[in-house]
Amino acid sequence: MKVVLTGSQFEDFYPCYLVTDESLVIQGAGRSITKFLPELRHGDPLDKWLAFDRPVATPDARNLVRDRTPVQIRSIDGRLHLSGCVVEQSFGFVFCLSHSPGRAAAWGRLGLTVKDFSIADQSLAVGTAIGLQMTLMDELQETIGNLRRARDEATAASLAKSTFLSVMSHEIRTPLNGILGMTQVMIRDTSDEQTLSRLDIIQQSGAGLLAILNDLLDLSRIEAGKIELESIPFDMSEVLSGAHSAFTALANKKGLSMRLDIEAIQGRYIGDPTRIRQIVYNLLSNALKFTESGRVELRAYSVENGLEIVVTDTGIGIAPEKLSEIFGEFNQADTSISRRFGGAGLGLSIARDLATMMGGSIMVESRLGEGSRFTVRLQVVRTGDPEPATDGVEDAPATSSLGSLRVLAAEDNDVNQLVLRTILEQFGVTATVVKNGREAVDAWAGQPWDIILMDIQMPVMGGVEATRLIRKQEAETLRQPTPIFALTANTMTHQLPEYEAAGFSGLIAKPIQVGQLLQTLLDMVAAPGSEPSG
Amino acid sequence: MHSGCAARAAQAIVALMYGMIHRSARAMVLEQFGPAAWDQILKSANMDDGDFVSAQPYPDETTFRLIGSAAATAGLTVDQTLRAFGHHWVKTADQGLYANVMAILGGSLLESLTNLDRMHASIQIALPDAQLPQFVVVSEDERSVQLAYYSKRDGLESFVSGLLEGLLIRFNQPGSVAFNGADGAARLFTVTFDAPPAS
Repeated sequence: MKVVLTGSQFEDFYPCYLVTDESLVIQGAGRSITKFLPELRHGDPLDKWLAFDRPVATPDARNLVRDRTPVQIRSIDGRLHLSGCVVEQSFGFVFCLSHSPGRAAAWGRLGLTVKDFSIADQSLAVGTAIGLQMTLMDELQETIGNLRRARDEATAASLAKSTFLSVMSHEIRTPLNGILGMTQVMIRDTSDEQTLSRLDIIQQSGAGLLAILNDLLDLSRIEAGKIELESIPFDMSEVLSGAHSAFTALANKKGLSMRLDIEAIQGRYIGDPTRIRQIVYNLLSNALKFTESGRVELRAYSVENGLEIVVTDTGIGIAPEKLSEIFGEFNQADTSISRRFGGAGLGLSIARDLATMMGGSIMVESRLGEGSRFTVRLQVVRTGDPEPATDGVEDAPATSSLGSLRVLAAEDNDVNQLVLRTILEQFGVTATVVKNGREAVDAWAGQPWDIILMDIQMPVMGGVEATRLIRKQEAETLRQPTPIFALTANTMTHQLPEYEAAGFSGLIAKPIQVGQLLQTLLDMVAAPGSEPSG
Repeated sequence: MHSGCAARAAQAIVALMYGMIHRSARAMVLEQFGPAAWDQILKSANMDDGDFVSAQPYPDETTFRLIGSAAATAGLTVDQTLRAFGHHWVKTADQGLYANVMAILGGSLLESLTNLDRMHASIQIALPDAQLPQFVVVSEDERSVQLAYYSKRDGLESFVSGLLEGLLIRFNQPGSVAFNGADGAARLFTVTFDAPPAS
């Protein structure tokens, strides 16, 4: 077959063709080359205007034809990049070229249009595809940027929420301290049954509010990753029986039997007793809340690599489709539940998070109308038998022995000052109250004290700094250390080492529990070597 | 065309449009009406996700639902919306992401109109699932160009008018675009120039 094309037909197929002689001297050029190199003339050597990228070896026209060598050339000014092959015709060597699609990004800038491309070759389409692909890369980068921003915003929002919860919890504790503290004072002052009953309601309501606050605070700390677990030796049965005892009164009040079966796990373990107690508290609280008749049971037994704690109730149970939701935050199985039973729906979520942090898990089984069973699996190591109970515990001194105690209290809040002063007065203790850590240090320097009750967050100087100063001066002057107790709502585990390092002897949680404060003062009197002045 | 045409088009065609169209539509809404309007459009179109991917083909049904919803939200007819989108498409393609592709149309209005078909053909090779229209220059003189538009889709004549008007704007060429009805499979448009365009 012999194909004969007119010059115009040929140029439509190869708008950037070149014709040279055997010595690579230009004999002709297509419109898409002369458009960009208008001064190119017949008789010019090809290398005056164009350079070979391929072949890499010195080009020889006959070899290019014979070997069907792919040819890639560029204009000396760098604008044109052409690729194709060479065929030999009677009038010379014809370079059948097209614009290389690899340079598509520059086509627009160069002024190439569709007419500079052969319909028969796909360079234009390939170049278009490359252009589109670059667009997609830009789009991908934009999407990645948007996702990053969204992630950062979500993280910031979560942090803001946690901070808000934390701040609000602390802010609400101060007036709550006033309510609960004064209620306890009034309960001790009153013998009228009706008044006692009403005060009891105030106290229980306040305690309920405090529990919700504590849950919120815990939740914010868990979310912010601020909860650090302890790993200390403790008696597991003490923790579990303590939790059981704490709820026995409530169970009795509701007419429920409250069983405890923990014989199988007696012993000392390594772990975080505070957080294990909190998990069990939350599960027992949940069980009692949703059980109106029958029993609540706390059992524990050993399993491989740890133990299982099981809380069973004969309460209302949970519908199967709701089981997966009950560990969510602010989730109760039914919105009507929160109206009927109260609570923020955080207890199970916190219990689950804490168990997970300990490398454990919580599982729930339930039958609607029959009851529920929560099983906590914990990875804790048993280290030995429980320590034998010490006999002959000395009777605690009566509160009458407290009157001689020299108590210094540092507390900036007026309400808290009044609560503290009133409670202490009920014990016959007249405390010296100062408003900040600086005044506490000065007061300590002025005379000996049997105990210092130190608030943590105070203006001028906080409690931690004041305690550090006192301990430093005690060491320098060889003065006998004064017991200093932190009065604080910050009783989270991770803060305890900081208090300990500052030199605190212990802490008393706010809102103040009269019993705890009294016990601390009695311990001061009973402590060996303690010689309150009188 | 009215909204019924768009609905008929949605029913008649089982075809795909690439997400670059939807992304451009979103950009237009965001630019002219803000993010709340885009959320409203998605909501009334019963669409959860407004994050279209340029290289992904979407069913025409999605496209037409989006257009119908956008028209309702903007208080415009579907025709007005399509026309406005035609203007926007030329502007954003030219100034933004598809400048390289638009550049090969050529440096003058007449050249661009002549090259429309080859540009669409080369895009279709690159995006084989795209069902792009064909444009044929039927006639041209100093003051007008008559184009035949062929498409497997119905109901997009207003979009084509908007595109051609967008090209007039691109080349600062005062003029107008008229849809002259169909001649067989061809739908005819006349681009009229107020003064002879630069060649």
